[in-house]
Amino acid sequence: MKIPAAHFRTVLPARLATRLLLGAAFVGAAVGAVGIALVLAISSLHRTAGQARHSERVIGQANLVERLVLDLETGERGYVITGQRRFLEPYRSARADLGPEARLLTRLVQDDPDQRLRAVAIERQTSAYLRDWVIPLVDTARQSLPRARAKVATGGGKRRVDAIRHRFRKLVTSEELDNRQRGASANAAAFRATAIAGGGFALALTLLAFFVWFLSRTVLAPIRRVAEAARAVGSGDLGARVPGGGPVELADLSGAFNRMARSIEHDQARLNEQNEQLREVDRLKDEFVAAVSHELRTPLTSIRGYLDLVLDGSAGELNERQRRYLGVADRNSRRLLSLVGDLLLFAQIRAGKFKLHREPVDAVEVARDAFTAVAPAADAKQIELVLDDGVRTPLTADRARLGQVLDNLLSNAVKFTPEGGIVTLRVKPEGDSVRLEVADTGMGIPADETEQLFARFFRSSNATEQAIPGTGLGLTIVKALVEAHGGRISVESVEGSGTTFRIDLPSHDSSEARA
Amino acid sequence: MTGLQHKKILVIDDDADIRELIKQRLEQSGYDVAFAADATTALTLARRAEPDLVLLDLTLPGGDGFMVLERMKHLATLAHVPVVAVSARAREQNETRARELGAVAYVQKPFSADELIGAVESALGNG
Repeated sequence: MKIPAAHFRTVLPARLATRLLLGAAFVGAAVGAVGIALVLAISSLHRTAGQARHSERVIGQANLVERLVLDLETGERGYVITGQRRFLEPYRSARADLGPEARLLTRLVQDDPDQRLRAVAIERQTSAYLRDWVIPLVDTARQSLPRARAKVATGGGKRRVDAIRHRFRKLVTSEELDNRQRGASANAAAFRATAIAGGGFALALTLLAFFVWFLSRTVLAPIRRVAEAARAVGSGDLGARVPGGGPVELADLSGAFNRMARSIEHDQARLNEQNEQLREVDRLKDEFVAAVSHELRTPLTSIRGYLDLVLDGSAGELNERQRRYLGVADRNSRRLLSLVGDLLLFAQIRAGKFKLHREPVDAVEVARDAFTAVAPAADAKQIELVLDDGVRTPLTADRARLGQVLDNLLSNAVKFTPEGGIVTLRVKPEGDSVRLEVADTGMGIPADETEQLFARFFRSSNATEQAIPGTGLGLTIVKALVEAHGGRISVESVEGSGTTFRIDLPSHDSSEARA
Repeated sequence: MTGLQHKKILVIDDDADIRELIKQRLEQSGYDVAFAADATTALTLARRAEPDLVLLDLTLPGGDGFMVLERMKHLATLAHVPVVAVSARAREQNETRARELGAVAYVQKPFSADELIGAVESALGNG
């Protein structure tokens, strides 16, 4: 008989705990029933075996009583025939035992009404035989043997003994018959017990198998589905869901999982959206900076161009004071221009539009150019410039950008070093890389600020306190340019005694195809 | 800078101050200068004036400088005239494109007198 699955499901209780309890109770009840049947069969077997033993005892007792009767007869006859008293030995002991043994036989069969009747008859007849025949005969023989012999010759004794023996036969036969029947029923009971044990074992195994199948169907399969969905969500498929249904507890689990996944998906979507907005804001900002840089350069072209025209005398001779004032305007317009350049470069780096133009260069040569460029500023502050360079140090790099890096670091060093200080530029090959160091004897950088030193628009507290001009972009750009070359920059500083910037550049463009 | 040939240079720029600045510098070096302030004028003038060289700003009203450059290179009378791009836009993004469209040099604004004259001379020498 096959129950349709849908029907099967509606028949099942909703709670898993109830299902498990019912299943266990069902299996337990089946095993218990088999156990009880087995115990009953075994106790019946036991009872039958007891009855068989009892029958054997009854038969034995009957035989004993019968032998006593025969002993009586043998003793009596021997005495009557021979007259010798020693023949009376069996008679005497049998005469004493017969009564109690016959009564014992009756007691043994008292539960069986038919046998009891027979035993009572045997008891009565044997006692009558003793009392009415054997004892009077022996008494007669003592007085007169011939008279006793004549009495025996009448055959009265033989008739009585035959009747008694007939009764014994009936009792023993009946007991044997009962015993045989009991043996047959004991065999049947043993067979039943075996059958119950075997069948019960098979039933218990079947139920257990069914229970395991039921568990795996209602518990393991849904758990596996949840685990599968969890793995899917874990590997990024946020749309993964678990089908509902099943027992209440697992439906709860599925429901909770689905709510969690929905929430994650929702949050992720919102995060993506916010990220998108942030990227858009970032892009607009970069575009804005690029546009502003462009718009600033156009007026700067005129400012610088006309200052040049005036300063080179194209508009007539200048007196000393005019030349000096215009020089200030010229210098500051250069600063403004370099700031605009930094801003634009920064925007390009941020927007990822920045490209290096790599070529074989000599680091020493680039260092010398930068050294020369910073010399006037150093002279103005009476700062000693030391160039520590050795042999040619070949390098694959963007010449202009590398120069810009050194310009930035050197002009920083000069800016932050008091009059009379020393600024040193070192260039040396270090295995597969080139090391560039710019060291000054300036005011240094507080230890807790070196971390943020390369962050954009960060300005050291020493710089702001002493009103040293700057935008906070220079080192950010230096770091970006060094990293674009696949290099590293680090800084060591002791407040009050000086700062050293160290750059390590790979000699060859090993990894990035940015060139 | 012998200035004997008086080569003619067409300056196309929408900023009058910068046109005047370039004119000053070019005349100091002995060149004749013609102006155009927008794309349309630039193209008509370029055909009529038969310049020896064009200095072209890449940001112009009425169509950007790249468009003017492309048109010039498609006109039989102008295709051979060397063009030097002059722009305040970032060199990185614009120089390559200008050269692809036929410009022989790129001058970044703001420029010094030496940069401007150097670019013009080498363009004329090559052209």
